[in-house]
This record gives sequence, C-alpha cells and structure tokens, in this order.
Amino acid sequence: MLCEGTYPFYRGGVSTWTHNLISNLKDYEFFILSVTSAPFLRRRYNLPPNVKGILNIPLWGTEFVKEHIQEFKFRDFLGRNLSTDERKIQEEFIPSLRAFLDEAKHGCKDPRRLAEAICEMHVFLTRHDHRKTVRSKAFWNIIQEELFDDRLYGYARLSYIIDFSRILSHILQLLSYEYPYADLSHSSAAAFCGLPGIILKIDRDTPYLITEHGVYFRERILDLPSKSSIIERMLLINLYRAIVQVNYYYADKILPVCKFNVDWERELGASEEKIEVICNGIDVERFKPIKIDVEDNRKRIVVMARIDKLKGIMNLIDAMANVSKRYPEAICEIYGPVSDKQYLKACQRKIKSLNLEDKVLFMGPTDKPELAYNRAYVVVQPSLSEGFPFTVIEAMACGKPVVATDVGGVSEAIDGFGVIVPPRSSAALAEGIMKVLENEEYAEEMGRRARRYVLKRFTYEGFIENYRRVYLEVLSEKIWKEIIEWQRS
Amino acid sequence: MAEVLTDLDSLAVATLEVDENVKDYLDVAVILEVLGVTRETARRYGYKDIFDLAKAVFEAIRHYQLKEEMVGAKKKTRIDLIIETLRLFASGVALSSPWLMILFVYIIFKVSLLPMYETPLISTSVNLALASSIISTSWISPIFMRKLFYFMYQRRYSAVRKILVAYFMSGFFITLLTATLLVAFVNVLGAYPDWWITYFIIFFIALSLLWLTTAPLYALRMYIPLILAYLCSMLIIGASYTMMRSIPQKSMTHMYGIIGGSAMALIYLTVYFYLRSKFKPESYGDVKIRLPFMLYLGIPYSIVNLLYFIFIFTDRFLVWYIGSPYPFLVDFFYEAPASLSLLTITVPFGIMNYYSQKLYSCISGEERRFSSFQVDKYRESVKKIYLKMQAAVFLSGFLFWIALFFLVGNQVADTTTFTCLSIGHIFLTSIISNIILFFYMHRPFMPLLPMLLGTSLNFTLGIILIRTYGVKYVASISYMVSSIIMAISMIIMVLEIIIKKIDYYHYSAF
Repeated sequence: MLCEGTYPFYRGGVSTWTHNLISNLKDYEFFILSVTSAPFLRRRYNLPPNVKGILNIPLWGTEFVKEHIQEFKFRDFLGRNLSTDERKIQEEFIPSLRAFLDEAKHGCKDPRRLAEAICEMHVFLTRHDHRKTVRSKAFWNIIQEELFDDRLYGYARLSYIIDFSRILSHILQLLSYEYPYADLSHSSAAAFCGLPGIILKIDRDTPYLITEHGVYFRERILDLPSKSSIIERMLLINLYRAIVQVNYYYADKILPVCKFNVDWERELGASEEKIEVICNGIDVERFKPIKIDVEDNRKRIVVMARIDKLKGIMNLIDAMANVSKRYPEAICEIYGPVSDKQYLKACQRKIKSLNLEDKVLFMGPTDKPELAYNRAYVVVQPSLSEGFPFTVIEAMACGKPVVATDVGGVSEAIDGFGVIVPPRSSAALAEGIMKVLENEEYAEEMGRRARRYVLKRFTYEGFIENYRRVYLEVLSEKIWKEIIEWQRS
Repeated sequence: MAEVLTDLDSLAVATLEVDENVKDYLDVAVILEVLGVTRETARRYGYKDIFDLAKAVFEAIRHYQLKEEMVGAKKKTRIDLIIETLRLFASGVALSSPWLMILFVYIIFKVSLLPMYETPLISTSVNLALASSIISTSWISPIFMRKLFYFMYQRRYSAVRKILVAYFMSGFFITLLTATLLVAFVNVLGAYPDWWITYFIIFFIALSLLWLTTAPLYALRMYIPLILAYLCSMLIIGASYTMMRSIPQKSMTHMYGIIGGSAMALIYLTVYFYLRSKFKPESYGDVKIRLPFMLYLGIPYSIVNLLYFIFIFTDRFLVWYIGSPYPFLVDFFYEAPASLSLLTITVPFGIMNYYSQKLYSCISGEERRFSSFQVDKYRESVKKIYLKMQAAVFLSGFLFWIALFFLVGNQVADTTTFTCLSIGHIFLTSIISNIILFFYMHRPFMPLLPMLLGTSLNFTLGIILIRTYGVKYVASISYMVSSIIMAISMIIMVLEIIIKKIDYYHYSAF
C-alpha cells in the first residue's frame, strides 16, 4: 500500500479509507510504504495484524537517506558515500535526470521515457549517496542546462528555480529506498507515492492500482503559491502533470472514489477502460443515530474538518455571522486537527471581529466522530475542494441533515438527500443552513432518508467486496500472463 | 483571470499585487474590475455586487494582515535603517567579546597586561589556563551545534533538547578528562610547584565551563544571556583570582577553587536550563539522534574551529616557551602589546557583522530579483557586496588601529609587536568573515587547507625568525605574515570558487 502524507501517521479521509480497507481485507497481507514530510512521526492508527511491515520515507527532516532507520548502519552509509563521485554521477545518473527534467518540464510527452528515467535514477540512488548526488556540480549543471537555458523557464526567478531544485532533490529521496517484494501495489493517490508502484511494475511486472480520492493534479493546482508568475506555476504544474500521467499510464486499474474524478482523469490522459468507480464505504453500525444529552438546547451546527484553507472555514464563519442574526441560539462546533496554524489565527481574528466568540468554537480533533455528529442539529461541510468526503456520508449515516458545498464528489454522495450550495459563497452557505434550521420536520425527514440511502449505497461490505474483486482480477491476470509465457517458453 | 481567483484571500493577494497601498474598498473595486471581476462574477460568489465583494476583500486585507504576509514588510525608513545598522554593528562587536572580555579581565584584575614581575607564575597559570581551555573546548560545540541548528529549523525541539543534554554532558566530562590529563602532564614535567598546578587547574576548569556555556549562546545569537553569562563568570573568576592572590597560604587555594568551580557549574547549569526552556518539545513523534551521523557532519566544523584557535595562540606559545625558566612562562613584555592589540578587532568585527548580514540577504534576496537566465548579473551583485565587505573590514581596521596607536601606543614599550599583531588581527577579521561564509554555505572543508597552511607557516616562520634574529618577540611578525597569507588565499578561494558559482553553492547549502 503506497501512501503520501496520510496513513498511518496522519488522520483524515484517505487514512480512514486505507485503514478500513486493510483491516477488512484480512486475507491479504500488507506492507505500507508511507511517504511523509518528516521522520519519527507518531502513528495515529493501530496497525491491523495483517500489516507485515511499514517503511516510512520522509522527504524532509533527515540529512541523509535512511538516517532515521536504526537498522541502516553508518558503515553502509559510508560505503555508499565513498562509491559516489562526480564522474559516476555524470556518467550514470545525469542522463536519466536529464530525461526526467525534459519530461517533467513539458508535462510528460512520453510516459515510457519518464518511467525509464525514474527507474534508472532509482537503481543509481539505491547504490549511491543521495546527498552527494543532489549536491553535486553535475546535478546543478543539468538544472542550468534544462531550466536556466530554457527559452521559457529561463524567465522564472532564480530563487524559484533554486527552490524547485531543492524540492526535486528532496523528492528524489523517494527513489533511494529499496522497495519490498509485493504481488500487487496499490497507491492511494496518482502522486509521487505512486513512483515505487511504477518501478515495481516495470522491474517485476507487479500489478499496480491507483485509488484517487481527490484528483491529485487538481489539488496541487489549488495549492500553488499565489505569488508565482505564470511561467513558474507552469513548471510545477507540468511536473505534477508528468507524475500523474506516468501513474495513469502504468496503472492496471484506476479506481476513483466518485464519478466527479473520472472527467479529470480522462482529461489527464487516463485510458477509459482502466477506470472503475468504487465508492467509499463506512461502518454503519458505528455511525448511526445515537441519543446524546447535550448540555443546552442550542441548535448545533457541526463541522468535521481539519483547519485548513481548503476546508473553507473562513467562509463558514462568514455564514455563521448571517445565521446568528436570525438564530442567535445557533452554535457551530468545528472538530478537527489544525494543519495550518496561520489560517487558524486568521479564522480566530475573523471570529473576534464578527463577535462570534461564543458561537463558533474550535473543538480540536476527536476520536469519536459519531458522537460529534450526533450532537448536531445539522452537519455542514464548507470545503473548497474535496474528493469523496467521508464526513458527509458518516453524518448522513448518523441520520443528520447535511449542508455541503458542491465540490468534488460531494453532490454525488448526497444525491439529493441533503442541501447542496455553491462553494465559496458564505451567503449561499448561510441560506442552506437556515433552510434546515427553520424547519425541524424537514430536517428530521432529510436525516432519516439520508441514513436509508447510505445503508443502501455506502456500506463496508460493498466497498470491501469491490476491492477484493479488483485485487483478484489483476492478480489472476498476472498469473495467466505468467502461465502463457511459461507455456511459450 | 477572475475565474482563477475564487476566494477572498486570492482576490486580496491579487489586489495587493496591483497596488499594495489600497486605502478603501473603492480602490479594491477598481482593481477587481481591472482583474476582470464583473457584477455577475460577484453575484456568483454570493455578493450583491462588485462593491459588496470589494468590501469583503478589503476586510480580508485589513483583518488578516495579508499586506505584511503576502507582499512583504513596509519599506524601511531612514531611522529604521540607522537602528538596524547600529544593531548589526553592536552584535558584531559582541562577536569579538571573548577578546574584549579577556582584555577587561586583564585590565581589572591586572593579570599580565601590566608588568607584575613579583607573580609571573600566577599569571602564567591564568594565561596558560585561558589558552588551553579555549583550545581544548573549541572543537566540542561545532559537533553539536551543526545538528542542533538543523533540528531547530525543522522545529523538532525534542531533538534540540536531546542535543543540548548531550552537549552539556559531553562538555563537562571532556573538561574533567582534559583537566586530569593536564595535571598528569604537568606532574610528569615536574617544572612547577604544587600550588601552581592547583591554580592552573582551577582556572582551566572555570574558563572551560565559561567557553562551553557561551558557545551555544553565541551560536544562537542570544546576546543578552551571553553578556550576563560573561559578566557573572568574569566576576567569579576575577574574585577567585583576587582572593587567591591575597592569601598567604597557597595550600588553601583549593578551597577558593571549589567555591569558584561550583559557582561556574551553577552558571553552566543555569544556561542549560535556560536554553532548554526555549525549546518546548512538540507533541508528535520522538526523534532519535544518531551519533555517527552527527559526528560525520560536525567534525569538519570542529577541526576548523580548533585550527583557528591554535593559529591565534601560536605566537604566544612560541614566546612563552622559548628561553623561559619555566615551560610556557608568561612574558609580560610581549603580553602588554599583545593584549592591547586585541582592541583592534572590535570595529572591524562590527563592520564585518553588518556586511555579512548584507551579503547573506543579498545571496538569498537577489535571487528573487533576477531571472534564471540573468544568473551572471546575480553573481556579479553578490561579488560586489563581498568585495565591499572586505574593503570595509580592512579600511575600518586600519583606521581604528591608527587611532588606537595614538591613544594607547604610549603604554606599549614594544610598538613593533603591537603593530604586527594589530595588522594580523585586521586580517584575522577577514579570515573569520570568510570562514563564516564557508560555514553558511555548509562547506567546512574548504577553509581547511588555507588554515593548515597558515597555522604551519605561523609556527615554522616563528621559529625561523626567532632563531635568525635571536629575539623571541619577532613571533608577532610570523603571526602577521601568516594572517595576511591566509586571508588572501581565502579571499581568492571565495572569489574564484564560491562566488563564481554562488547559485550552485547556495542551492546545495540547504
């Protein structure tokens, strides 16, 4: 299982999906390869017994590749270090780096050439010192040739190219690890974490699956620094596009969690016959209506989201200013970890300026979301971008009316059993919330129908069985191929 | 354009990019229209019209202080610039404070600055303890500080705390071990009386703890605790010295030693706890630090530091060693000009610090000003600032030395020694500026060769000159010549290697 910034070190939708899938596919053994931003992170999930190993690949936070792994001996590091010199880097690494950069800056013209370059760099970096390689003069010369001297990218700021090169050097750490043997690799995103899957596919013909929650490419565009020039943005966009396309090209199956993703995948070059939508499932025994005694009779608006710009909390606060004018007793509880401290501060300033201190509360992360949902009169999901949000179907399973923004696969999940509002509009969001608040019967009926709908469409059983089927399909296909080849030989 | 700008923050940033001085929502409305936002777009985002949207965008600019966060700080006024210049100058002078402090100790407690022929042995114990404590502790802090900074920038404060524990523990035990070895060595020599060894070891331990205490404060640029640590330590060391000198029974010195040592250990511990309190551990994950990797990165910095201190004491060791009735007996005739010449470095250090900061901000700031195809212009602008720094260091150094010569020259019997050492110190400032630049670029190996050459030259030339002229004070000439050669070779290295490819060195430094 290939993860990026998620399982088992961070909580969130993708991590929940991974945990549910692994825990329920008990007849499969898993090895988790988790790409993270830092080493020595605390695990946020208890690993199920069928997880046989975990390799954390931090792209930042270590000065030497594998420094954080106790089993990696210093003498091995010295061996790698001594075997790396400018001549070797120039002869064995630079040609593949050149091909990689050429493909990356053009957004991947030829996925095969890009994948070949990735594999060659992987071979080199597993035997040589990563730090010495990316800090070499040869490495910088190729950056100069491919980017400084490029007719287009030559206009990017020097600082940007330097930052880009540093990011690239960190990403290349991912290729410096030996990946364990597997019968099948499954990536939770068409992202950098998929590169080991591509390498295993090319080297050992290991079937490769991708599940797309949010469309990685789309989310990265949303994340791009707003101060960059068009040319600078283009460089990063093309790098992401290249990585996504090479992932799609080598995947045996692309499994988006909602139909919304399919259009993007098709647009980015994924072949139609590889795509199959598998919706997420949830534990309807855990997420069910529960009678909870709340401390007062105020109408609770519950939001389950991490504090991040993409989650549209600012918009929600604006909406609450409107809501509280008509429903002064309404209170909004936001559950979730803080992933952007500056954004949290901005939210708090906004709450203060709108005098909403006792009406919008940050409750922090919770291990019992089912209780939080059941405290709610209405559950709101104000995101600016989503894949297929668990929070929406979990709230629906708890029999709560949902007001959500029309992003990603949200409307597909709600499918008429909740209120959909346009994103980034606090006025529309407030209107949606008030629509539910003003009519208790309407709210209760909506909640009841939502639960029935979830029981029909988003159960664990269906979700797990779909993955079991796909696993068997690709594995048997591989076995057949091997039998045919064996017969031929 | 408007289609891309889909939330208030991006609209605010886009607005500020057009005009960072928007005064009210009407200004914002004008800019929004320029950006292609129409009434329909505004309505689609849930606002009545473009003015309604402009009000919200203006609120975002005002409330979230996007102005500072996203378009950079306000332009500095002349007063701001003067204050900043003075601050950088003062912190540069503070960088030279070990020497200043040594000088003040000499002046206040009258150790070796002024001729005190009645107690040359006592002065020797202090001076030798001073030099050997600096050299024996100089290599310890760089090993730890290199990794400490790494984790500090990563905000892995639990790791920073672990490194602090390791540093303070190792510092303490290494000091004890070195003290034991030195006692054994002096005993084997059998040249000094027993009370002298007690004197020496008291000062050695106290001064070693002082250097170990102040090294992280220096590295972290915590100037106020640094000055406090110096003042308290100076007071203790000075008081111990005065009391020890005043008692007739030399056998009682160890009592004062124990009291002084305990007070120094208290400062040592206080600084540890102070630093520890500055780094609150994070809640996620426990960082494991691996010593071999830490040593691998830290040792080159250690060697440079060690060589540097050996270099600056070489001339003194030669003077103290050659022709003395005791090994390394302090020579007051040399000490007076040597100590006074230390004053020369204060002004060039301030200037160096000011220009170093300018140079670093030029290295990272100019990158933003130039496109990548203009890399040569970028290198040129870095080169200009670097040359300016060197010129300013030399000019200020020479001017200040001339001023000093007229101010304190009459107190120095041997003006040649004073002149040679002062000139050496001016070039030493240039050497330090280059070492700091090599360290900033994470290239500690680069200054090793010129430093090895300089130190060997200082030693060899010193012996040759002393033998040739039969006067041991000519060691100051060897210090001056080797400083000049080392400084020039480092300047050439920086210009020919680093600055010619400054983009590469800056990229690969981080």
